[in-house]
Amino acid sequence: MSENIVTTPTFNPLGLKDDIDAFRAEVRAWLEATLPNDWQDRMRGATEDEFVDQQRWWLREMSKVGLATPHWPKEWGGEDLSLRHQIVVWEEMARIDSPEMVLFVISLYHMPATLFSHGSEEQRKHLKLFQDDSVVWCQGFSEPGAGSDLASLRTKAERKGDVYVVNGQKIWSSLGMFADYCLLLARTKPDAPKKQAGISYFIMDMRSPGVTVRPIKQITGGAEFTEIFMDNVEIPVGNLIGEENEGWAIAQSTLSAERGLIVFNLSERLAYAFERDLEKGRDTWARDPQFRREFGLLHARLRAVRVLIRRNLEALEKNPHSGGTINLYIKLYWAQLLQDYTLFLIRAEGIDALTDEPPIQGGGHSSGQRVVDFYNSFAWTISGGTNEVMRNMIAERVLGLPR
Amino acid sequence: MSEEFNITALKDSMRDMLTQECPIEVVQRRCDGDVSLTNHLWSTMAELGWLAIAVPEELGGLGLGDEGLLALYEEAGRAVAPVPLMANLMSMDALTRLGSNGRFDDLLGAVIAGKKQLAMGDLTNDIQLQGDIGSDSINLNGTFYVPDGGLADIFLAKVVVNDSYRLALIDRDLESVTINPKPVTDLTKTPAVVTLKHCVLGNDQILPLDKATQDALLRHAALAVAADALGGGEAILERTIEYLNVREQFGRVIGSFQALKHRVADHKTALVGVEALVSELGINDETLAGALEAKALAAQTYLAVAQDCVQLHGGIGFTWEYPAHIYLKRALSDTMTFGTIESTLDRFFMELSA
Repeated sequence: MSENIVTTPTFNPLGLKDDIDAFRAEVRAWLEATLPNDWQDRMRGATEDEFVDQQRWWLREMSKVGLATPHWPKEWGGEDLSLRHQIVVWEEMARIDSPEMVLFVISLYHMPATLFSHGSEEQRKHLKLFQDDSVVWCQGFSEPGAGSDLASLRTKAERKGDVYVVNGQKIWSSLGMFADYCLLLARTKPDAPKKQAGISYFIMDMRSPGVTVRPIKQITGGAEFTEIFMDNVEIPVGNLIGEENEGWAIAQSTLSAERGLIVFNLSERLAYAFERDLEKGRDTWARDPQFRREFGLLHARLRAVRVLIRRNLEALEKNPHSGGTINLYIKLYWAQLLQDYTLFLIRAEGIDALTDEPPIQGGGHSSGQRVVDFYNSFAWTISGGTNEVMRNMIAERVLGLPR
Repeated sequence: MSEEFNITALKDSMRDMLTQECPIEVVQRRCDGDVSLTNHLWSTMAELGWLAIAVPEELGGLGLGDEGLLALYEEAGRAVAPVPLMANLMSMDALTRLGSNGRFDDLLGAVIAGKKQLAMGDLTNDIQLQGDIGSDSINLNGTFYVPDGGLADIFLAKVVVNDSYRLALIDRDLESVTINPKPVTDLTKTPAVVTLKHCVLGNDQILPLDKATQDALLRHAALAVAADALGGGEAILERTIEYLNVREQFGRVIGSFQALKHRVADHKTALVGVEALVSELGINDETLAGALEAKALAAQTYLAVAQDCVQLHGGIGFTWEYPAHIYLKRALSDTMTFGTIESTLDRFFMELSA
């Protein structure tokens, strides 16, 4: 009988977007119905395949309700969702502690940030492709000899007819072993008067002959980072983004993507983590005045950075190409706070916090695994511009001190 | 004032006036004992209506609330203004909250006009003032500490009477009142210890002090210190950056040395965080907890910035003649105004857990 048919509830948050409270309620209901309570446990020490499956599964689930790429423009398969709605989505995901889209960070943020503004019509088809096939992108910027001094990169791309022939080595490319495409910086004009002037920006198919990927085992014991070796890799001329030798400026917009949006998600999650961590420590470290006071100051810093991040998002909403000085402050402030807080928890919780256990895949930066979170905090103090590079930029570009 | 009243414009005008009337030279002269210019400054502030900034409109004030207070405290902090702003504004806050039926209208009017001054005893110290109830009077004995405004005409002090708290208004001219100035190295402040011996006050000089009002006053103090620290920290850092841009050693300006740049960048970043936190207090955050954590972080940051700014100046920073020490000393007193950083964080934690 028809009464006995159990129907899976369907959710349609986007249908409710005119009423922000109803929208939020729908997102929350969808999350609660879709995400298993024990996903963290399942991902503890998960294999690579399990991790990739989980990431793809979660992206698919988000797609079903239109929340995978809601921040993208409609013409490219997004929803043109207002920043206010995006904030709601992130807040709800932080609240329930949903899996981080680690595998798709570059696909969701860096790739579109680059292609929306600088990609050709043909190249922008990748935006659609991503949504259909959950294509994984990685970033090929840093090299063994070009870290903070990225502009000194030496990977060479030589034009030969319809292709560029690329030779060189990239490093610190997150999840390169799973990537289908790479956002690649290479030198096309070795004798340019200024080293920044001779760099071009390419889309590289990771399945091209001559591409070798080697994982790098990290401080956490896991291996998210990779080295990418390129031996006479041919990249079609059509995969050059923007003009030849003008890749440096485009790379800046790729890098700034990372600082604006991602950090909002992380800081909201950290705010929930503060609550959980305090609750957990209530009868232990929270009885110690010194730890209590330290926690208080960290709490103040967390609130401060959340205000900065929200302000930055509001500025971004008014002017999508802003970014400006506040991002430098946020990057430095956030990185330092995350590291100080994760180390504080280890000190507060004592020897138990040092337990060696397999990391929760996709657990993010406040997974609750104390040592893993602390080690992962270096990803913020080092990547995307080390704290030291940020300090130089603040001192020179904002405060006007001489180079 | 209208809803659209532009607080930024008011703040700019405050900065302009203080740059004119209270440049660092005026503060330095005050530190050397000359009070004439600071007395003038107080009258000017009164004339401009600044003392009425948070007094409700129906009592003749500007009614600008926390936003107005924050703007004024921050600008006064930036100028390290040697005037008992917090002592008077906090006292007026207390009288506005506790007085009813126009009871203090005349007194408030006199303070707003700069004709009378008030000062608030420290609310965070253990209570040392005892009151015994007579038929229509209370007999007060004990001492209390006044963090600033030791020259005020009337002191407001927390009294314990039969296990409940009251706020006493104590006239400085009473014979039973002894005022001992307690100079601190922060010469922009005039602290005092007030001793009462059989000080008999009429019941109309004693107000019930409920917990909500105590918390509101503690919040006012926290907000004042946080904004003062923000303004002061910004000012000394700007001054230091200017110096790093002109001072030459080893044939180059010392601001080109990375070791110094990085410190300055860290200080600026910390102050950007404090600014974000303080800005919330006037708009999105009315909690005591929020003000306390802002105060703790702001005071700690100000001290760290001012300390390092003395160091970054080298020898000149160590002199009396150069004003770096004025900020350092104010920063130190900020860390102990209405509670130390530690006691502030302890209270914050209590609020957070409540």
